Amino acid sequence: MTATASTEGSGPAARHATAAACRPPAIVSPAIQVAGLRKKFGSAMAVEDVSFTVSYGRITGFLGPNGAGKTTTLRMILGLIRADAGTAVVAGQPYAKLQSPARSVGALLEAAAHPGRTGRDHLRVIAAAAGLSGHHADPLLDRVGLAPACRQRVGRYSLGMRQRLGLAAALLGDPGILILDEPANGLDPEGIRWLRDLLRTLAAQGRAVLVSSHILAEVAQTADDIVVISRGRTVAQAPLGDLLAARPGATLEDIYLELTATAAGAP
Amino acid sequence: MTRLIRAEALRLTTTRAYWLLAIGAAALIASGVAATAAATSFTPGLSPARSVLSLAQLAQTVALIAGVLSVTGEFRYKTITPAVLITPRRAPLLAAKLITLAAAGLAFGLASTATASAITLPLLAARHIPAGLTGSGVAAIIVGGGIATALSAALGIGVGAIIRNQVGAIVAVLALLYVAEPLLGFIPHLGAAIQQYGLGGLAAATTRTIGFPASEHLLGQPVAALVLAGYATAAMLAGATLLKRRDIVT
Repeated sequence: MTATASTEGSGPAARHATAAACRPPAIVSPAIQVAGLRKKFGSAMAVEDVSFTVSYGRITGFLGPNGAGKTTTLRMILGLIRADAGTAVVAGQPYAKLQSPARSVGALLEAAAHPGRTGRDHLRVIAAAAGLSGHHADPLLDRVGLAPACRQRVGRYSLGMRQRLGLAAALLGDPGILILDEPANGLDPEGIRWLRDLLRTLAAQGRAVLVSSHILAEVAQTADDIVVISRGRTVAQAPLGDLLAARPGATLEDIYLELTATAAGAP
Repeated sequence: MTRLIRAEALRLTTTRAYWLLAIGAAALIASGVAATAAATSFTPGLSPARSVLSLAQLAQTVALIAGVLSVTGEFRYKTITPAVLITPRRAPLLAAKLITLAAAGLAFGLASTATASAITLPLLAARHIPAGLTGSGVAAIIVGGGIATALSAALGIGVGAIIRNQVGAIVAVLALLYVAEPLLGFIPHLGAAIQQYGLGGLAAATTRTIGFPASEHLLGQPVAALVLAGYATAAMLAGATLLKRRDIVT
């Protein structure tokens, strides 16, 4: 908790860390560091060699075609899937070693909740398990716009509402690192704008946000850094500005399609 | 662990399934023993009270299913992902389920068996049928009902963690209990072992009631409880090992 809070404090400074590269590097260690991750399911290679880092105070867009290994990578970072090789370090440790994971890392992987439980009770269960007060539930439901529906069973929620509930669950422990798999899924245009503002606010507070998405126009508006994987390998990691500057006139979509096509054509 | 148990108690009380199971089982047991005690003619040689109270074994079946639901529901609704994210070591999650459901099972088993006894004994007395039970015999049935129900919930959790698929696990458990064991129980030689060491026979012996088919071969109450506890422990250990080892992909 305290470690998270102190890193958050240095957040806005971290945002400009690249500009001050001559400063001693010891101050800002990456929020997430992935090195050489590899995973085979049976004979199918899901992730072959994925490496990247995610910094505090920045939004990192995690891109790749369907089946490129994005979700498997995120699940390996979170200790849900055991990597065959490589390491993933979150807040300085492998996820499974974190003392109170909900306070360090908030994750939204799939909007999963028991359909028979109310949204409010869903959060209360998670809060109880994480040793957090259930009093956080109501303000959070308000923050994600679910206050009017908080006593409805999740089975009656739309996909967008379940995504909002999942975001509330991820934010419950006030974590310094957020890992979000396709959070814009099912959100309406108003919801997408709300999500963009939320992610920017979280990053501006100094938190690290790793977010996978297929909506490139949205990523181009939101992300500071871009990681692209294709066929289980990292094919690009760079600040968005650098990617665009290297190809004058090209959009993120152009660059993405080129990167993933090249990789697909490679032996 | 306290917080995990609190979370588990919330999981149990904030969905309707467990309430429906408990209320349904309680109603079936009460009406079943009432009808049987009021109207049936009894096989000579068997204690009428024990025959009637064997209907309360439904409490163990329901606890077994509740245990299975508590784990397979996490996989079915994909809530296993948020649950494991909070408890990355995973095994404590099953331990919390064990403690919570075993406590609930103990309470439900004691209450339902005590209620069944309170219905059965006066009805038999009113028909001038000797119950064939002493006061301590009734106490043994009630305590056995509590213990057998708690152990059944634990067994269900282990089985659920091994099988994961909700429908598959429930079908497997019910088929074993209501099809395989009763049929195998009629086979000479093998039948006696099934009646002693099958789940139905162990539940009957632990609750000091009568199995199906009615058996001379039941184990003694303490031994039966220990064997049932052994099954539950084995299933829990296997389930915990698999939960720790398997990838969580949904």
